[in-house]
Amino acid sequence: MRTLWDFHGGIHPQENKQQSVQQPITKAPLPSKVVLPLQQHIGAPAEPLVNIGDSVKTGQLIARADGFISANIHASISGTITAIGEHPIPHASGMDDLCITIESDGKDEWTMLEPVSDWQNADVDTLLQAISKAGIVGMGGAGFPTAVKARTRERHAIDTLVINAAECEPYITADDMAMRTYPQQLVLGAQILCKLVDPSSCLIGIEDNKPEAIKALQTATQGTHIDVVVIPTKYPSGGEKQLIQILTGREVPSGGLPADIGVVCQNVGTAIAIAKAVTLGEPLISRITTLTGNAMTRRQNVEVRLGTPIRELLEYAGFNADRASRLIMGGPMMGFTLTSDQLPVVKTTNCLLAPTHQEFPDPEPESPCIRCGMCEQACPADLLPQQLHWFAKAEEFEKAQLFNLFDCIECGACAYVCPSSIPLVQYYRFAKTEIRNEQEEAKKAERAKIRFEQRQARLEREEAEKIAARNARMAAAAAKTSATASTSAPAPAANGLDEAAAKKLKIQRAAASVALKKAEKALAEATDDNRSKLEADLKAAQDKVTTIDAQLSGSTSSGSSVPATAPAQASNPNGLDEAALKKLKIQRAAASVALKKAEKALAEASDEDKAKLETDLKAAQEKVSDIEKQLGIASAPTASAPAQAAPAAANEAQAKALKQAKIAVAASKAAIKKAEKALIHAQRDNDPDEVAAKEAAILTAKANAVKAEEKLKTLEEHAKAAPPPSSQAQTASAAQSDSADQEKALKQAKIAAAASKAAIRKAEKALTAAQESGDAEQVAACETKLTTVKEKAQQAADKLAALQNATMQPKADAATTDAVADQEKALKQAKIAAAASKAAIRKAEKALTAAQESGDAEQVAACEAKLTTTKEKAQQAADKLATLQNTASTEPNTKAQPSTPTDSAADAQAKALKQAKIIAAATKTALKKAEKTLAETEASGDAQAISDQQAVVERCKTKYSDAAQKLEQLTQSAGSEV
Amino acid sequence: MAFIRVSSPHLHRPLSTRKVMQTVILATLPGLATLTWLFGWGSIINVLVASASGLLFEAIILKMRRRNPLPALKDNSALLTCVLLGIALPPLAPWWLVVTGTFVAIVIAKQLYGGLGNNPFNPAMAAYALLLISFPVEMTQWVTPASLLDNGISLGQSITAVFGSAVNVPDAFTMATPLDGFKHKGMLMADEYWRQSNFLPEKIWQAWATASIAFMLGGLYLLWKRIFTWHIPVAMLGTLTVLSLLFYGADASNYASPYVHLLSGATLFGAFFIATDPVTAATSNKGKIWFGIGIGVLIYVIRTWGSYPDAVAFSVLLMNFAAPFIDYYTQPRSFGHNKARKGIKNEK
Ligand code: SF4
Ligand code: SF4
Repeated sequence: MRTLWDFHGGIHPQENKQQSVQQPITKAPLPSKVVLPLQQHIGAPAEPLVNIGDSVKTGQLIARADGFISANIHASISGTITAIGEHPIPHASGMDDLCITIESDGKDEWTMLEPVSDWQNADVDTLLQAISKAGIVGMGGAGFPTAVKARTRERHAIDTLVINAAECEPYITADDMAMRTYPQQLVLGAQILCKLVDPSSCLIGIEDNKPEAIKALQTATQGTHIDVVVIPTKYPSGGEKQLIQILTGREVPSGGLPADIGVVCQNVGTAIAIAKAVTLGEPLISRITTLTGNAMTRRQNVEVRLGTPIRELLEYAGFNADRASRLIMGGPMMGFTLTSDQLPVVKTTNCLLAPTHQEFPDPEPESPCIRCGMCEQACPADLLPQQLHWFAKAEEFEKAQLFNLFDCIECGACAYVCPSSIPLVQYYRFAKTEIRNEQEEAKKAERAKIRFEQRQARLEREEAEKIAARNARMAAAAAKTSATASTSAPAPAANGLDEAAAKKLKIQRAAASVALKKAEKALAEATDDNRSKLEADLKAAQDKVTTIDAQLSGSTSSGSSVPATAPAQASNPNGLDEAALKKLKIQRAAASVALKKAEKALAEASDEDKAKLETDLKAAQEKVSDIEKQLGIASAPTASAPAQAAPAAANEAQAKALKQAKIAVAASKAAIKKAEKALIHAQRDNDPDEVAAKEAAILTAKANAVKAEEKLKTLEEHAKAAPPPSSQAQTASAAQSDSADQEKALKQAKIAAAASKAAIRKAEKALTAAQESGDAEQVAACETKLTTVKEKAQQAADKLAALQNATMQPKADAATTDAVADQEKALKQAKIAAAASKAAIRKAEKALTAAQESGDAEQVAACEAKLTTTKEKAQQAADKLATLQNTASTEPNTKAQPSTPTDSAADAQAKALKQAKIIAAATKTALKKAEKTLAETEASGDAQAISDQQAVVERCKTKYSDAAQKLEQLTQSAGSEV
Repeated sequence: MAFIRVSSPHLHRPLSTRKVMQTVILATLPGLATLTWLFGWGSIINVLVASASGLLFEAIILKMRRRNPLPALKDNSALLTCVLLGIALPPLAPWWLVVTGTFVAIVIAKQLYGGLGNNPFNPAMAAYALLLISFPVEMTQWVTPASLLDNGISLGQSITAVFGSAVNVPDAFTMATPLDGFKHKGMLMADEYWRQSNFLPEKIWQAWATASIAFMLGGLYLLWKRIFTWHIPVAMLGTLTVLSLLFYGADASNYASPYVHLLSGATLFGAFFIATDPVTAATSNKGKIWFGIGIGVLIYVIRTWGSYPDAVAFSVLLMNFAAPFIDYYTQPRSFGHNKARKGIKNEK
């Protein structure tokens, strides 16, 4: 005999189990339809994988677990998906939730099942996979995903596996009958769990009021190491914490998990489902449910398909609505009443109880508490229910919490014994909800602030994008005019104007990008508090850049379209465009993946609460990308059409594009409508959080719609201007949209990079904190996290770099002016970099001086090291700058040479010569300067600095000789040609 | 099809407050019968007068508080208070004394504090204490056991005594209680006092002891019915026994024996019917033990060194005062917590 422990309190209500064990388990008739809620478990709702109209087979996966704590949902009958939407679900609060409805075809055709062959030798991962694939959740009541629970070994040392077969609630016999009927399966399930959890002992705890089940189990467990432990009947011995105490004498700590004390607890139904999932490959699509209560004529246990409408089950059970006092899902102690029979059976439905008025009379009116203490005597959690009741009633929630309200398991023992008929549990639920709301409230205030700022920034951004799009359109129109003009007669005036405008814009662009960089830097250094503000700044800066870029590309493309009248060049850009377009699209996809990843990292690094917000964000972004994709398809034909040159084909393509764009517009309108509906819903539910989220979704959707409509308009304009001469303009516009895409991708990548940087910093901070606290485990966790975040950051940075390169290349290819612009940009950047590194050197030197003064040797060494690094970097920057200057001065000429007439070639040559001379002079000056510095350094006698400086001099020399060589070449060629 | 929505649990033990009170009233019957048998009709008349007036007061005050009096009257709580008060008052006490008592108990001690469940003091004892202070003569005259009188006291005589115009019960019918006598033994040593058998005959002792035991039987019935738990009676009686044993053992000539303390006066009645009143006692099991100990100590102290011969009422009232405090410091250790919380403040 094992030692058993007792738990405090408990009650002995009438069992009433006999009624439903007279008949064996039968299969309930196949339902005509099933309604499967996407959330039948604790955690995140599953994500639907099917569409309305799809036909599915029994056992087919129709919704996939979304996140770590979630569960798969499978079709429980074969048939057609007829609805995916809100439907009332069985829940204590009587709410609606997303459900998938399948209309049965009556055939019950199954999909191919994939059992694990030879599970004894299968590895743990295979088994876990099988369990999570089957969508198994705790079937006793809470519905916690089983695979997650079975994984506890990864984090906790488990020594005991408990199979909860107590079934202490009156009336319910589902587990009892399951054990009598399938004892082998239960034992098999327990053995599989043992393999996963690897405990030193496995106990099946069963109340002594189930002699037949006990016998069946004792026979089935012979020769295994599983113990059947018979415990005295007392409610709530089947409560997880109570059963663990009875069997092991250990108490699950308040707010903790059984795993914290080395125990994992699984329910009978769950174990059987595991056995089926592993050995048969059968997903969780049915369960055993008790039909009982005197308002039913057929009181027994049935195996019922999940999602079966309760009405069909009640019909089968001979339910008489007139006799029923209420309809309960679950047992009489903890079950909740159902207000309708339209609700479906779910994974946790262990019982349907339809008692008559004699069995369950209407509750007596509540009378005052007489402090008799009977509730306290009954409470298995050792609470003071009467005190909690006082506090809940007086809304003194803080005190209620002090009196451990949250340790209440809502077993109802206190209310059962209360002579004053006080619905104590209802008071506790009320208090718990209020407290949770209060806590939410506090967090919400914080979140609302952040959300407001983000929204503000987004609105600004959207405004900027709109302006950019408009400008781009105007530029395209201008380009068209200029293109038409140039076909009839050259218009140098317009051309010159364009160039002047482009120049101006370029200057603006440079200024804006400096501002952007500044903002990014500030963001990187910022603390969490002002981060959101800075982020807004950053976004504003980015918007500015985007706007200018759009204008710029508009005018440059119009500029480039002028020489494009020359037939030799006309065909070339088109081919290039197509290739570039394809490449860009791939890049954009990659960039958005990066964005998502980085955002995820951000969410992980920051508050937990943000996660929900981020999910919304993600959903919105996905929608955006959906529409973008369609737009992309739309723009592709427009780009390729002119290249084909055949007007008919072009027209066709245009029509297609138009149609697609229209679809996009319609889709985004639908999205708006949906979002608005969701908003109304949220408002009705009175959830301000939800409302705000939905409002944001609507705004996004609306912005998308605007974008889509704009695109449509552009396309329509093109369609009107269909005659072939306009092909130039179209090319331009296509190129434009490409560059806009690119910019966007770039922007996203930049945000991703910044976000991951922030994540790194946060992780580092956490690491420092952990190190200070001296918690080794914590430190390790933080370090891992840091590494992951850094990796992610690296990925984001790589992507960013790749994108930047990509942005450079096509531009360089497309037109000379673009290349020049890029070069100038690069040059400017390099200059800025050089200046920055110089500043860094100065700073480092200052720090060094300070350190030397303070006399801290270590500090000095550190500063010196830093200085050296900084200098190296500065040198690199300087080198880069020099290289760029070289190419800037040489390239345009070399490129220009083949296509320009001879006289202009001579002109160019003269120019190149001049530039080469300047470079040579510059490098010479640099060399001299370097030598001078070397002399100075030598005087100071610092060996390290001297060698550094020597290297610099060396480099300068090389450069000078390079420049000199080039100059010579140029002079020679100039001489020979003339 | 729509069904009603009720919060779980859906099952309820068929034991209501009304039933609880009713059971307690029933449990007083053996004691009441014994009192009547030993001391005549006085106690029954007390109980009847108290009940009638008490229920009337309850109805009136509830009407004045704009509440429906019916449910409250039906919950038997007022009736129980009146029965307990009627038993505690001396038999043949004049009717106005009883009515004054019920007024204090129901109107002041109970309803003015908010009604059932909200009263900090045991209403019957509050009334008893007030009467004892205001009418010490009437309150300390206890009828002579019938067995000591030649013919006993007839029902008619009792009624005349209670409702008659005479201010006091005829002297022939009354005499001091044992505790009272012991208190006023003056300079006599305990054994000398016991030897004055004419002053306190053996029969008085027997009468008191019998009545006490009858009440205890009723109390044990309630324990068995789990109407209350053992904690308060055991703690209270245990403390009283230990204290009296200590002093008696040290100086038997000056201190009364445990036998006297336990079996005379209202000790057993108080232990099972007064101190266990759930509304005014401490609630947790640990708290109840402290509550019982407190009462035991106070009873002994007041009886031995105070100026009142019996002390159950005062002791219970004093401990009523302390009950909320005790409750805060004797919270049970909740499941899954390392230690019990003390006090009401956040421990940070
Ligand atoms: S059981 Fe009911 S009446 Fe008794 S103390 Fe608890 S809440 Fe009050
Ligand atoms: S419902 Fe809560 S307070 Fe009541 S007995 Fe159960 S655990 Fe205790």
